[in-house]
Amino acid sequence: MKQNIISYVVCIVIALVFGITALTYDYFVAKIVPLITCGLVILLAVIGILTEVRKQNNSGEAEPKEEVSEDEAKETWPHYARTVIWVVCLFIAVYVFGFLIAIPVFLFAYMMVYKTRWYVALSITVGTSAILYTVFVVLLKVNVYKGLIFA
Amino acid sequence: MIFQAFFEALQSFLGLEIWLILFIGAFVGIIFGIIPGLGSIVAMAVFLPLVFFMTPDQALPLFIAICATGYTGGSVTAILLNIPGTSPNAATLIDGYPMTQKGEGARALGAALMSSAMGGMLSVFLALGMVPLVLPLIFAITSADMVFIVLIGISFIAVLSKGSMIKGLLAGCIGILISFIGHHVTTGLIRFSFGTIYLIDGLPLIGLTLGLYAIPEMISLAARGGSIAKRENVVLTLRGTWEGAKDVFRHWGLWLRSSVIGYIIGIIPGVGAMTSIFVAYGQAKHISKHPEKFGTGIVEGVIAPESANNGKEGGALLTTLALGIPGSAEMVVLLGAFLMLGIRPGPSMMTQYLPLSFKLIQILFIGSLIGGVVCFFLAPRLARVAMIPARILVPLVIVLVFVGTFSHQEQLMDLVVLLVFGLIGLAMKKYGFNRPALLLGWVLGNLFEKYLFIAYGTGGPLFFVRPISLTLIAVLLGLFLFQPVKKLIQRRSAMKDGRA
Repeated sequence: MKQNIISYVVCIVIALVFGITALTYDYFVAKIVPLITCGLVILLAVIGILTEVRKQNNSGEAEPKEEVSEDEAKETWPHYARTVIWVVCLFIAVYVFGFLIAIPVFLFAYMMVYKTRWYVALSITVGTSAILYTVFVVLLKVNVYKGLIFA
Repeated sequence: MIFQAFFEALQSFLGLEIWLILFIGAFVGIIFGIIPGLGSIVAMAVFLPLVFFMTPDQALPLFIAICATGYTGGSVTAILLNIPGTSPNAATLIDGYPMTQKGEGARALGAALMSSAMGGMLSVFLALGMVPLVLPLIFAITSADMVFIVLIGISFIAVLSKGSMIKGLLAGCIGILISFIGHHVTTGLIRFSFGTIYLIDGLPLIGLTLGLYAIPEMISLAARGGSIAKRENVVLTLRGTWEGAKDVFRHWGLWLRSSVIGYIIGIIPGVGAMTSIFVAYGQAKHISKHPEKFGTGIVEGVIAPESANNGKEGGALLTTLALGIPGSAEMVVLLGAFLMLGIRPGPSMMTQYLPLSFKLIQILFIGSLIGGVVCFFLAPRLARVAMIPARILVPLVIVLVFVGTFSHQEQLMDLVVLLVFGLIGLAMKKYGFNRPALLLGWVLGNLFEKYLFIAYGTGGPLFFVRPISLTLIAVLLGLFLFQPVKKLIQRRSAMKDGRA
């Protein structure tokens, strides 16, 4: 319930950022629709917060616990964080070393960390890298980013 | 003359070359459709340089075949991985993916492929039969009418809202706000770029779509572990796919309605495939006897958007051929191919080049059929994707999404958008905010503003006092009143039964 209220507050903050920015525009036609939309977001978020508060008051202090499946129980931010870190690391690796190095290293490292047999991980890494290179670089002529170091 | 041109076009299918081109085009379309972030537009753009080495009879069939099969391929990843292969598959995953999780992936694929192929084929019949009716309609539609067409699309944000209606509407409104980033059409002012040159042209569609869907799904799958569907749940036989295909015939009314909606939206330039799929999905939910089941994995939720996204192509092709105005993004590339071949689409396509026009429309029919058949027989094998362990599937998809996003504009900033919207999408998924609603708001927000000011500028405050606009307003009101009136009637009849 607290998380829901926080998410509504985030929506209000987003609307305020857009609304305050819109107010700085000189043209009426450039700001009217964004301002109306911001107003709608704030109104809806306030209704959402009031609904949550009313629900909390009605149910008293003890909040009834919803039954969650085993899979849903694993979906928590600490569980998410591990993969988020992997994705951010891939982005940093692409930025520094470029796609050609970052992708095979990421694929192999990820699969090894999660206990995939080394020959399976190696063959998937080599196969995927070769297919991606053929499709994107050879056939589609994509100018792949080479990274800060090799650019 | 029309019949002569029609049969002249039909004769061209007697050669072997045309079939070879059609199969190559269909294969390319499916492959590009399956790879997230690519889609038929990229495939057509890639093949554009080849136009210089081909005749119109070779180049144009190739492009139409790619166009006819791109969305069909895109539905595969939408259903199996919850990642839209192409953006117009975004509505398919709302029910397609839950079906996969329930072990009905093959059935969902069968329904998607059959409705997509048949939607494409029906649109061809409509395109052929409705030429005399459609052309005056296209000329009659003005910006004032467009305002209400877009508003009908926006109204489906509320329909898409699964769970909390407030959260769905909030997601839609934030999508509308995000759509204002970039150039303002009327004044040329750059809005909400926050001093960043990259945001001058607005946010990229590919980065935003894949960020909202692909990254959160993969992070979620990695957290859960295992695979998307349990081995014992996945129906891998052709029977499962065939069951899905039969569902289209069981819900033939829904398929017909959705295909016609797709076709009508397709003929109107500038509205786009995203509107057609969400309008089709919305009407399916609206009219359904059990709207509460939408979003939980029911086959009607797959049939409606898939019929509409391919149904749109016939309409879009007709507008492109007859007026030279591209009815969809794919048709912009096709128009480029026409111009490179020295053919200027327009009224001459209905006179001088009539056999070629018929041929292209017939190719759309055959391309839809080939795409459907090829994917249909591959579907049971494709359904195995849902059983790949997370430790292998997650890095593969993340890498594919990174490369697909980058290849679109070759800008590293697109990857930043992907990451940012990946996290936003994850938070939305976690806290029950509707992601399709945000996407729909983003697609239509800017369009609504643009047409509103053009209509206001040309027609004044009473710009909507026109027959088409008033009809569309009536449709809009009908959409809002349909469910409450239906509930009221049901309640009254229940009360009557109680008294009896």
